[in-house]
Amino acid sequence: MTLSVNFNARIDFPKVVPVLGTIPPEWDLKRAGSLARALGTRIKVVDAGPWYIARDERLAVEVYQGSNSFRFTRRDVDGEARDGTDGAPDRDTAIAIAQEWLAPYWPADAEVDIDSVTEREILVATRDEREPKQLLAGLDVNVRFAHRGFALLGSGAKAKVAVRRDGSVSEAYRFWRDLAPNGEATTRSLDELYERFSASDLFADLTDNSARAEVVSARFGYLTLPPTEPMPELSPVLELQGTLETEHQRYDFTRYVAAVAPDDRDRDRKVTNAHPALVIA
Amino acid sequence: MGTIGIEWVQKYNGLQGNLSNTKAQAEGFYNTLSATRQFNWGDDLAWDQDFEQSGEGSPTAGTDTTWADDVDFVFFSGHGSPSGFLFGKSIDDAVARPGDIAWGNRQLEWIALDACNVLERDGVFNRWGWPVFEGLHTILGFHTTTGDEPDRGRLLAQYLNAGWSVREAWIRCCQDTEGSATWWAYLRADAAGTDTYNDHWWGKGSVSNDPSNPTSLFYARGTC
Repeated sequence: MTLSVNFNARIDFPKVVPVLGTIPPEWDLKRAGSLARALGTRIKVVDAGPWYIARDERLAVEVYQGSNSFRFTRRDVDGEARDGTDGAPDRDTAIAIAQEWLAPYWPADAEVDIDSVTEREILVATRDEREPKQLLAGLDVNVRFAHRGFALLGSGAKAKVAVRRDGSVSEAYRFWRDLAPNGEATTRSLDELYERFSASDLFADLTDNSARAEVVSARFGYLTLPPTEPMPELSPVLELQGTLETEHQRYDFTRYVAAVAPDDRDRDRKVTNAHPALVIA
Repeated sequence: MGTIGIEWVQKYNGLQGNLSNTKAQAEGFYNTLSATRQFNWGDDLAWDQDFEQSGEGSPTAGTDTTWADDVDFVFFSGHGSPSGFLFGKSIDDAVARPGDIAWGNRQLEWIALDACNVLERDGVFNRWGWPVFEGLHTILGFHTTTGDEPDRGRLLAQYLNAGWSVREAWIRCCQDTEGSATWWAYLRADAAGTDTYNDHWWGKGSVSNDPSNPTSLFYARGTC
Protein backbone atom coordinates (compact mmCIF):
# COMPACT_ATOMS: atom_id res chain seq x y z
CA MET A 1 0.00 0.00 0.00
CA THR A 2 1.18 3.53 -0.73
CA LEU A 3 0.19 6.96 0.46
CA SER A 4 -2.49 8.77 -1.54
CA VAL A 5 -1.67 12.46 -1.87
CA ASN A 6 -4.70 14.72 -1.87
CA PHE A 7 -4.23 17.47 -4.46
CA ASN A 8 -6.41 20.44 -3.64
CA ALA A 9 -4.67 22.82 -6.00
CA ARG A 10 -5.29 23.14 -9.72
CA ILE A 11 -3.47 25.69 -11.80
CA ASP A 12 -3.03 26.52 -15.45
CA PHE A 13 0.40 27.15 -16.86
CA PRO A 14 1.71 27.38 -20.43
CA LYS A 15 2.38 24.26 -22.46
CA VAL A 16 5.46 25.97 -23.84
CA VAL A 17 7.68 28.18 -21.68
CA PRO A 18 10.86 30.12 -22.35
CA VAL A 19 14.21 28.64 -21.44
CA LEU A 20 15.87 31.20 -19.19
CA GLY A 21 19.61 31.01 -19.62
CA THR A 22 21.87 33.16 -17.48
CA ILE A 23 24.71 35.42 -18.47
CA PRO A 24 27.85 34.54 -16.49
CA PRO A 25 28.82 37.37 -14.15
CA GLU A 26 31.90 39.35 -15.09
CA TRP A 27 33.15 40.10 -11.61
CA ASP A 28 36.83 40.61 -11.05
CA LEU A 29 38.77 42.43 -8.38
CA LYS A 30 38.43 45.73 -10.19
CA ARG A 31 34.67 45.51 -10.74
CA ALA A 32 34.10 44.26 -7.21
CA GLY A 33 36.25 47.12 -5.94
CA SER A 34 34.19 49.64 -7.89
CA LEU A 35 30.99 48.31 -6.33
CA ALA A 36 32.54 48.37 -2.87
CA ARG A 37 33.59 51.96 -3.40
CA ALA A 38 30.09 52.91 -4.57
CA LEU A 39 28.77 51.36 -1.38
CA GLY A 40 31.05 53.46 0.77
CA THR A 41 34.34 51.70 1.34
CA ARG A 42 37.81 52.05 -0.11
CA ILE A 43 39.07 48.92 1.58
CA LYS A 44 41.04 46.65 -0.69
CA VAL A 45 38.96 43.81 -2.08
CA VAL A 46 40.29 40.29 -1.61
CA ASP A 47 39.40 37.10 -3.45
CA ALA A 48 37.89 34.74 -0.87
CA GLY A 49 36.75 31.87 -3.07
CA PRO A 50 32.98 32.17 -3.47
CA TRP A 51 33.19 35.90 -2.79
CA TYR A 52 35.19 39.03 -3.34
CA ILE A 53 35.23 40.71 0.06
CA ALA A 54 36.02 44.21 1.29
CA ARG A 55 35.75 44.21 5.05
CA ASP A 56 36.90 46.30 8.00
CA GLU A 57 35.50 47.23 11.39
CA ARG A 58 33.03 49.71 9.87
CA LEU A 59 31.42 47.84 6.98
CA ALA A 60 31.68 44.91 4.61
CA VAL A 61 30.83 44.38 0.96
CA GLU A 62 30.66 40.82 -0.34
CA VAL A 63 30.36 40.13 -4.03
CA TYR A 64 29.21 36.64 -5.02
CA GLN A 65 31.42 35.32 -7.78
CA GLY A 66 28.78 32.79 -8.89
CA SER A 67 26.08 35.31 -9.78
CA ASN A 68 25.26 38.99 -10.16
CA SER A 69 24.77 39.28 -6.42
CA PHE A 70 26.21 41.27 -3.56
CA ARG A 71 25.73 41.95 0.13
CA PHE A 72 26.32 45.11 2.17
CA THR A 73 26.75 45.08 5.96
CA ARG A 74 27.37 47.81 8.51
CA ARG A 75 29.71 46.28 11.08
CA ASP A 76 29.75 49.21 13.51
CA VAL A 77 26.17 48.67 14.69
CA ASP A 78 24.94 46.06 17.13
CA GLY A 79 22.83 43.40 15.45
CA GLU A 80 20.85 42.86 18.63
CA ALA A 81 20.14 46.54 19.34
CA ARG A 82 22.03 46.34 22.64
CA ASP A 83 23.60 49.73 21.91
CA GLY A 84 20.45 51.70 22.70
CA THR A 85 19.15 51.68 19.13
CA ASP A 86 16.10 49.59 19.89
CA GLY A 87 13.17 50.40 17.63
CA ALA A 88 12.15 50.64 14.00
CA PRO A 89 10.81 53.20 11.55
CA ASP A 90 7.24 52.91 10.32
CA ARG A 91 6.58 50.49 7.50
CA ASP A 92 6.09 53.06 4.72
CA THR A 93 9.26 54.91 5.68
CA ALA A 94 11.22 51.67 5.64
CA ILE A 95 9.90 50.79 2.18
CA ALA A 96 10.78 54.23 0.82
CA ILE A 97 14.31 53.98 2.23
CA ALA A 98 14.73 50.48 0.82
CA GLN A 99 13.54 51.49 -2.62
CA GLU A 100 15.89 54.46 -2.68
CA TRP A 101 18.83 52.32 -1.53
CA LEU A 102 18.15 49.61 -4.10
CA ALA A 103 17.33 51.95 -6.98
CA PRO A 104 20.81 51.85 -8.56
CA TYR A 105 20.80 48.08 -8.36
CA TRP A 106 17.39 47.03 -9.68
CA PRO A 107 17.91 44.30 -12.31
CA ALA A 108 16.96 45.72 -15.71
CA ASP A 109 14.94 42.69 -16.79
CA ALA A 110 13.08 42.01 -13.55
CA GLU A 111 9.67 42.92 -12.25
CA VAL A 112 9.97 44.02 -8.65
CA ASP A 113 7.56 43.35 -5.81
CA ILE A 114 7.75 44.30 -2.13
CA ASP A 115 7.10 40.86 -0.70
CA SER A 116 6.95 41.69 3.00
CA VAL A 117 8.18 43.99 5.74
CA THR A 118 9.25 42.09 8.84
CA GLU A 119 10.69 42.88 12.23
CA ARG A 120 14.17 41.85 13.26
CA GLU A 121 13.32 40.86 16.80
CA ILE A 122 15.40 40.07 19.87
CA LEU A 123 14.05 38.63 23.11
CA VAL A 124 16.25 38.86 26.19
CA ALA A 125 15.59 36.66 29.21
CA THR A 126 17.34 37.09 32.52
CA ARG A 127 17.17 34.87 35.55
CA ASP A 128 15.62 37.51 37.77
CA GLU A 129 12.86 38.69 35.41
CA ARG A 130 9.77 36.63 34.66
CA GLU A 131 9.07 38.01 31.19
CA PRO A 132 11.67 38.43 28.47
CA LYS A 133 12.39 41.92 27.19
CA GLN A 134 11.67 42.57 23.52
CA LEU A 135 14.01 44.64 21.34
CA LEU A 136 13.78 45.53 17.67
CA ALA A 137 16.91 45.90 15.59
CA GLY A 138 14.91 47.44 12.72
CA LEU A 139 12.71 46.35 9.85
CA ASP A 140 13.60 44.05 6.96
CA VAL A 141 12.10 45.11 3.63
CA ASN A 142 11.94 41.95 1.51
CA VAL A 143 11.78 42.17 -2.27
CA ARG A 144 10.97 39.46 -4.80
CA PHE A 145 11.78 39.46 -8.48
CA ALA A 146 9.83 38.06 -11.43
CA HIS A 147 10.66 37.88 -15.12
CA ARG A 148 8.15 38.35 -17.95
CA GLY A 149 5.37 37.51 -15.53
CA PHE A 150 6.97 34.29 -14.29
CA ALA A 151 7.72 33.92 -10.60
CA LEU A 152 11.38 33.44 -9.72
CA LEU A 153 11.42 30.97 -6.85
CA GLY A 154 14.06 29.92 -4.35
CA SER A 155 16.75 32.00 -2.73
CA GLY A 156 18.65 33.30 -5.74
CA ALA A 157 16.32 36.07 -6.92
CA LYS A 158 15.44 38.45 -4.11
CA ALA A 159 16.65 41.50 -2.25
CA LYS A 160 16.52 42.79 1.29
CA VAL A 161 17.19 46.10 3.00
CA ALA A 162 17.35 46.26 6.81
CA VAL A 163 16.39 49.72 8.05
CA ARG A 164 17.18 50.88 11.57
CA ARG A 165 15.14 53.20 13.78
CA ASP A 166 17.13 56.23 12.63
CA GLY A 167 16.51 55.41 8.96
CA SER A 168 20.01 54.15 8.27
CA VAL A 169 20.58 50.91 6.37
CA SER A 170 22.39 48.29 8.44
CA GLU A 171 22.31 45.41 5.96
CA ALA A 172 21.23 44.83 2.39
CA TYR A 173 21.64 42.31 -0.35
CA ARG A 174 20.60 41.78 -3.94
CA PHE A 175 20.63 38.22 -5.27
CA TRP A 176 20.24 38.03 -9.04
CA ARG A 177 21.43 36.48 -12.28
CA ASP A 178 21.25 38.37 -15.55
CA LEU A 179 18.98 36.44 -17.89
CA ALA A 180 19.18 35.56 -21.56
CA PRO A 181 16.13 33.77 -22.99
CA ASN A 182 17.39 30.80 -24.95
CA GLY A 183 14.60 29.07 -26.85
CA GLU A 184 11.54 27.32 -25.56
CA ALA A 185 10.68 24.05 -23.83
CA THR A 186 7.51 21.99 -23.56
CA THR A 187 6.12 21.54 -20.08
CA ARG A 188 4.85 18.34 -18.54
CA SER A 189 1.13 18.10 -17.84
CA LEU A 190 -0.14 18.91 -14.36
CA ASP A 191 -1.25 15.30 -13.92
CA GLU A 192 2.24 14.03 -14.75
CA LEU A 193 3.78 16.48 -12.31
CA TYR A 194 1.43 15.33 -9.58
CA GLU A 195 2.23 11.69 -10.36
CA ARG A 196 5.95 12.36 -10.11
CA PHE A 197 5.48 14.16 -6.82
CA SER A 198 3.35 11.32 -5.40
CA ALA A 199 6.05 8.83 -6.36
CA SER A 200 8.86 10.87 -4.80
CA ASP A 201 10.99 9.64 -1.93
CA LEU A 202 9.18 11.98 0.45
CA PHE A 203 6.33 9.47 0.70
CA ALA A 204 8.29 6.25 0.06
CA ASP A 205 7.77 4.64 3.47
CA LEU A 206 4.32 6.04 4.24
CA THR A 207 0.90 4.48 3.68
CA ASP A 208 -2.70 5.61 3.99
CA ASN A 209 -2.77 3.80 7.32
CA SER A 210 0.09 5.83 8.75
CA ALA A 211 -0.10 9.28 7.18
CA ARG A 212 -2.11 11.89 5.32
CA ALA A 213 -0.71 14.25 2.70
CA GLU A 214 -2.37 17.24 1.11
CA VAL A 215 -1.17 19.77 -1.45
CA VAL A 216 -2.86 23.12 -0.86
CA SER A 217 -1.13 25.37 -3.36
CA ALA A 218 0.75 25.05 -6.63
CA ARG A 219 2.44 27.57 -8.85
CA PHE A 220 4.68 27.50 -11.86
CA GLY A 221 7.96 29.38 -11.80
CA TYR A 222 11.70 29.21 -12.26
CA LEU A 223 13.81 27.94 -9.40
CA THR A 224 16.94 29.95 -8.60
CA LEU A 225 19.81 28.45 -6.61
CA PRO A 226 21.79 30.25 -3.88
CA PRO A 227 23.80 33.19 -5.19
CA THR A 228 27.04 31.34 -4.51
CA GLU A 229 26.20 28.70 -7.08
CA PRO A 230 26.84 29.08 -10.82
CA MET A 231 23.61 28.31 -12.68
CA PRO A 232 23.68 28.29 -16.50
CA GLU A 233 19.88 28.03 -16.69
CA LEU A 234 17.05 28.64 -14.27
CA SER A 235 14.97 25.51 -13.62
CA PRO A 236 11.31 25.56 -14.65
CA VAL A 237 9.42 23.94 -11.79
CA LEU A 238 6.06 23.47 -10.20
CA GLU A 239 6.23 24.61 -6.59
CA LEU A 240 3.94 22.56 -4.35
CA GLN A 241 3.08 23.52 -0.81
CA GLY A 242 1.08 21.39 1.57
CA THR A 243 0.97 19.42 4.78
CA LEU A 244 2.06 15.94 5.75
CA GLU A 245 0.61 14.38 8.87
CA THR A 246 1.97 11.21 10.44
CA GLU A 247 1.09 9.52 13.70
CA HIS A 248 3.78 11.61 15.37
CA GLN A 249 3.70 15.01 13.75
CA ARG A 250 2.02 17.36 11.31
CA TYR A 251 4.20 19.70 9.30
CA ASP A 252 4.20 21.91 6.22
CA PHE A 253 6.32 21.24 3.19
CA THR A 254 7.43 23.02 0.03
CA ARG A 255 8.75 20.92 -2.83
CA TYR A 256 9.74 21.59 -6.43
CA VAL A 257 8.97 19.24 -9.32
CA ALA A 258 10.77 19.61 -12.65
CA ALA A 259 8.20 21.05 -15.04
CA VAL A 260 10.21 20.30 -18.17
CA ALA A 261 11.69 16.93 -19.09
CA PRO A 262 15.35 17.04 -20.08
CA ASP A 263 14.41 15.29 -23.34
CA ASP A 264 12.30 18.27 -24.34
CA ARG A 265 15.28 20.59 -24.34
CA ASP A 266 17.38 21.34 -27.36
CA ARG A 267 19.94 18.58 -27.56
CA ASP A 268 22.49 20.97 -29.05
CA ARG A 269 22.66 23.08 -25.93
CA LYS A 270 24.76 22.11 -23.00
CA VAL A 271 22.56 21.82 -19.94
CA THR A 272 24.76 21.36 -16.92
CA ASN A 273 22.20 21.78 -14.17
CA ALA A 274 19.10 20.20 -15.66
CA HIS A 275 17.71 19.21 -12.28
CA PRO A 276 19.27 20.71 -9.14
CA ALA A 277 19.34 18.45 -6.08
CA LEU A 278 16.31 20.06 -4.50
CA VAL A 279 14.12 19.42 -7.54
CA ILE A 280 12.13 16.22 -7.90
CA ALA A 281 12.96 14.96 -11.38
CA MET B 1 41.72 23.23 15.74
CA GLY B 2 38.16 22.68 16.93
CA THR B 3 36.29 19.40 16.73
CA ILE B 4 33.02 18.70 14.94
CA GLY B 5 30.39 16.03 14.49
CA ILE B 6 27.33 15.67 12.31
CA GLU B 7 24.15 13.64 12.32
CA TRP B 8 21.59 13.54 9.53
CA VAL B 9 18.45 11.62 8.64
CA GLN B 10 17.01 11.03 5.19
CA LYS B 11 15.15 7.75 5.76
CA TYR B 12 12.53 8.04 8.47
CA ASN B 13 11.26 4.45 8.17
CA GLY B 14 7.64 5.55 8.13
CA LEU B 15 7.89 7.72 11.23
CA GLN B 16 8.00 10.87 9.08
CA GLY B 17 8.27 11.70 5.41
CA ASN B 18 11.71 11.02 3.97
CA LEU B 19 14.13 13.80 3.11
CA SER B 20 16.50 13.99 0.15
CA ASN B 21 19.29 16.46 0.89
CA THR B 22 20.15 16.24 4.58
CA LYS B 23 23.19 14.03 3.95
CA ALA B 24 24.65 16.46 1.43
CA GLN B 25 23.83 19.37 3.68
CA ALA B 26 25.45 17.96 6.82
CA GLU B 27 28.44 16.47 5.01
CA GLY B 28 28.97 19.79 3.26
CA PHE B 29 29.57 21.26 6.70
CA TYR B 30 31.67 18.29 7.80
CA ASN B 31 33.93 18.28 4.76
CA THR B 32 34.38 22.05 4.50
CA LEU B 33 34.96 23.48 7.97
CA SER B 34 38.59 23.74 9.05
CA ALA B 35 38.21 21.30 11.92
CA THR B 36 39.02 17.89 13.31
CA ARG B 37 36.21 15.53 12.33
CA GLN B 38 34.97 13.26 15.10
CA PHE B 39 31.71 11.61 14.00
CA ASN B 40 29.32 11.37 11.06
CA TRP B 41 26.19 9.36 11.81
CA GLY B 42 23.39 9.13 9.26
CA ASP B 43 19.96 7.51 8.87
CA ASP B 44 19.62 4.45 11.14
CA LEU B 45 22.97 5.22 12.78
CA ALA B 46 21.82 8.67 13.93
CA TRP B 47 20.20 8.37 17.37
CA ASP B 48 18.46 10.88 19.58
CA GLN B 49 20.32 9.60 22.65
CA ASP B 50 23.57 10.89 21.12
CA PHE B 51 22.27 14.36 22.01
CA GLU B 52 20.73 13.59 25.38
CA GLN B 53 22.18 13.82 28.86
CA SER B 54 22.50 10.60 30.80
CA GLY B 55 19.87 10.53 33.52
CA GLU B 56 17.78 13.37 32.06
CA GLY B 57 14.25 13.06 30.68
CA SER B 58 12.45 9.88 29.79
CA PRO B 59 13.87 7.51 28.66
CA THR B 60 17.11 8.38 30.45
CA ALA B 61 19.55 6.67 28.10
CA GLY B 62 21.46 9.76 26.99
CA THR B 63 25.05 9.47 25.77
CA ASP B 64 25.84 13.06 24.81
CA THR B 65 29.13 13.08 26.70
CA THR B 66 30.41 10.57 24.16
CA TRP B 67 28.97 12.30 21.09
CA ALA B 68 27.26 15.70 20.82
CA ASP B 69 28.76 17.15 23.98
CA ASP B 70 32.22 15.80 23.23
CA VAL B 71 32.95 18.15 20.29
CA ASP B 72 32.94 21.92 19.77
CA PHE B 73 30.34 22.18 16.99
CA VAL B 74 27.57 19.78 15.95
CA PHE B 75 25.41 20.03 12.85
CA PHE B 76 22.11 18.10 12.74
CA SER B 77 20.01 17.92 9.57
CA GLY B 78 16.57 16.34 9.58
CA HIS B 79 12.98 16.91 10.66
CA GLY B 80 12.13 19.05 13.65
CA SER B 81 9.34 20.64 15.60
CA PRO B 82 9.10 23.09 18.51
CA SER B 83 9.32 20.15 20.90
CA GLY B 84 12.51 18.63 19.53
CA PHE B 85 14.35 17.22 16.53
CA LEU B 86 13.49 13.89 15.00
CA PHE B 87 15.25 10.66 14.12
CA GLY B 88 14.30 7.68 11.99
CA LYS B 89 15.39 4.92 14.37
CA SER B 90 13.55 4.24 17.60
CA ILE B 91 16.56 3.25 19.69
CA ASP B 92 15.26 5.60 22.36
CA ASP B 93 12.04 7.41 21.39
CA ALA B 94 13.36 8.93 18.14
CA VAL B 95 13.03 12.51 19.43
CA ALA B 96 15.71 14.64 21.08
CA ARG B 97 13.65 16.81 23.40
CA PRO B 98 14.85 19.87 25.32
CA GLY B 99 13.89 18.18 28.59
CA ASP B 100 16.40 15.42 27.83
CA ILE B 101 19.22 17.83 27.07
CA ALA B 102 21.99 19.67 28.94
CA TRP B 103 24.76 20.85 26.61
CA GLY B 104 28.14 22.34 27.29
CA ASN B 105 28.87 20.71 30.62
CA ARG B 106 31.55 18.80 28.78
CA GLN B 107 32.59 20.41 25.46
CA LEU B 108 29.86 21.64 23.11
CA GLU B 109 29.90 25.34 22.22
CA TRP B 110 27.66 25.57 19.17
CA ILE B 111 24.98 23.41 17.59
CA ALA B 112 23.12 23.95 14.33
CA LEU B 113 19.71 22.28 14.27
CA ASP B 114 18.86 22.46 10.59
CA ALA B 115 15.28 21.37 11.06
CA CYS B 116 11.87 23.01 10.92
CA ASN B 117 10.47 25.08 13.78
CA VAL B 118 12.87 23.95 16.53
CA LEU B 119 13.47 27.58 17.54
CA GLU B 120 9.89 28.74 17.06
CA ARG B 121 9.51 31.99 18.95
CA ASP B 122 6.54 31.34 21.19
CA GLY B 123 7.68 29.60 24.35
CA VAL B 124 11.28 29.27 23.20
CA PHE B 125 12.75 30.09 26.61
CA ASN B 126 10.48 27.56 28.31
CA ARG B 127 11.60 24.84 25.90
CA TRP B 128 15.27 25.62 25.22
CA GLY B 129 16.01 27.82 28.22
CA TRP B 130 18.21 27.60 31.25
CA PRO B 131 18.50 23.80 31.79
CA VAL B 132 19.81 23.27 28.23
CA PHE B 133 22.63 25.84 28.51
CA GLU B 134 25.30 24.46 30.82
CA GLY B 135 28.23 26.01 28.99
CA LEU B 136 26.76 25.88 25.52
CA HIS B 137 27.17 29.18 23.68
CA THR B 138 24.57 29.18 20.88
CA ILE B 139 21.84 27.10 19.25
CA LEU B 140 21.34 27.91 15.56
CA GLY B 141 18.00 27.02 13.98
CA PHE B 142 14.75 28.21 12.46
CA HIS B 143 11.59 29.85 13.73
CA THR B 144 9.65 28.50 10.73
CA THR B 145 9.72 25.53 8.41
CA THR B 146 12.80 25.32 6.24
CA GLY B 147 13.79 23.71 2.97
CA ASP B 148 15.20 20.25 2.28
CA GLU B 149 18.25 21.63 0.52
CA PRO B 150 21.89 20.54 0.05
CA ASP B 151 24.07 23.65 0.31
CA ARG B 152 23.55 25.28 3.71
CA GLY B 153 26.05 23.22 5.71
CA ARG B 154 28.84 23.88 3.26
CA LEU B 155 28.03 27.58 3.14
CA LEU B 156 27.95 27.82 6.93
CA ALA B 157 31.42 26.28 7.01
CA GLN B 158 32.68 28.56 4.25
CA TYR B 159 31.47 31.65 6.08
CA LEU B 160 33.05 30.44 9.33
CA ASN B 161 36.31 29.68 7.53
CA ALA B 162 36.19 33.19 6.04
CA GLY B 163 36.17 34.68 9.53
CA TRP B 164 32.55 35.68 10.03
CA SER B 165 31.20 35.31 13.54
CA VAL B 166 29.00 32.31 14.27
CA ARG B 167 25.79 34.38 14.26
CA GLU B 168 26.82 36.26 11.10
CA ALA B 169 27.69 33.01 9.34
CA TRP B 170 24.35 31.42 10.25
CA ILE B 171 22.30 34.40 9.09
CA ARG B 172 24.25 34.58 5.84
CA CYS B 173 23.96 30.92 4.93
CA CYS B 174 20.24 30.95 5.74
CA GLN B 175 19.63 34.02 3.59
CA ASP B 176 21.65 32.46 0.78
CA THR B 177 19.59 29.27 0.76
CA GLU B 178 16.02 30.21 1.71
CA GLY B 179 13.29 32.50 0.44
CA SER B 180 12.19 35.39 2.61
CA ALA B 181 9.21 33.45 3.98
CA THR B 182 11.66 31.44 6.08
CA TRP B 183 12.85 32.88 9.40
CA TRP B 184 16.31 32.10 10.74
CA ALA B 185 16.70 32.12 14.51
CA TYR B 186 19.33 31.58 17.16
CA LEU B 187 19.44 31.35 20.92
CA ARG B 188 22.61 32.20 22.81
CA ALA B 189 23.69 32.46 26.42
CA ASP B 190 25.90 34.97 28.20
CA ALA B 191 27.19 35.42 31.72
CA ALA B 192 29.58 37.69 33.55
CA GLY B 193 32.84 37.67 31.61
CA THR B 194 31.50 36.06 28.44
CA ASP B 195 30.78 37.49 24.98
CA THR B 196 29.14 34.84 22.82
CA TYR B 197 27.75 37.52 20.47
CA ASN B 198 31.23 37.85 18.98
CA ASP B 199 32.05 34.13 18.85
CA HIS B 200 34.00 32.85 15.86
CA TRP B 201 35.05 29.37 14.84
CA TRP B 202 38.26 28.25 16.50
CA GLY B 203 41.26 29.87 14.87
CA LYS B 204 39.17 32.43 12.98
CA GLY B 205 38.63 35.07 15.66
CA SER B 206 37.63 35.53 19.27
CA VAL B 207 35.87 32.75 21.16
CA SER B 208 34.09 33.52 24.39
CA ASN B 209 34.62 31.78 27.67
CA ASP B 210 31.89 29.26 28.37
CA PRO B 211 28.75 30.67 30.02
CA SER B 212 28.59 27.75 32.43
CA ASN B 213 26.05 29.47 34.62
CA PRO B 214 24.35 31.90 32.22
CA THR B 215 22.64 35.02 33.43
CA SER B 216 21.09 36.10 30.11
CA LEU B 217 19.62 34.33 27.10
CA PHE B 218 19.28 36.16 23.79
CA TYR B 219 16.82 34.93 21.16
CA ALA B 220 16.98 36.59 17.75
CA ARG B 221 15.03 35.98 14.57
CA GLY B 222 14.64 37.55 11.18
CA THR B 223 13.50 36.72 7.68
CA CYS B 224 15.84 35.15 5.21
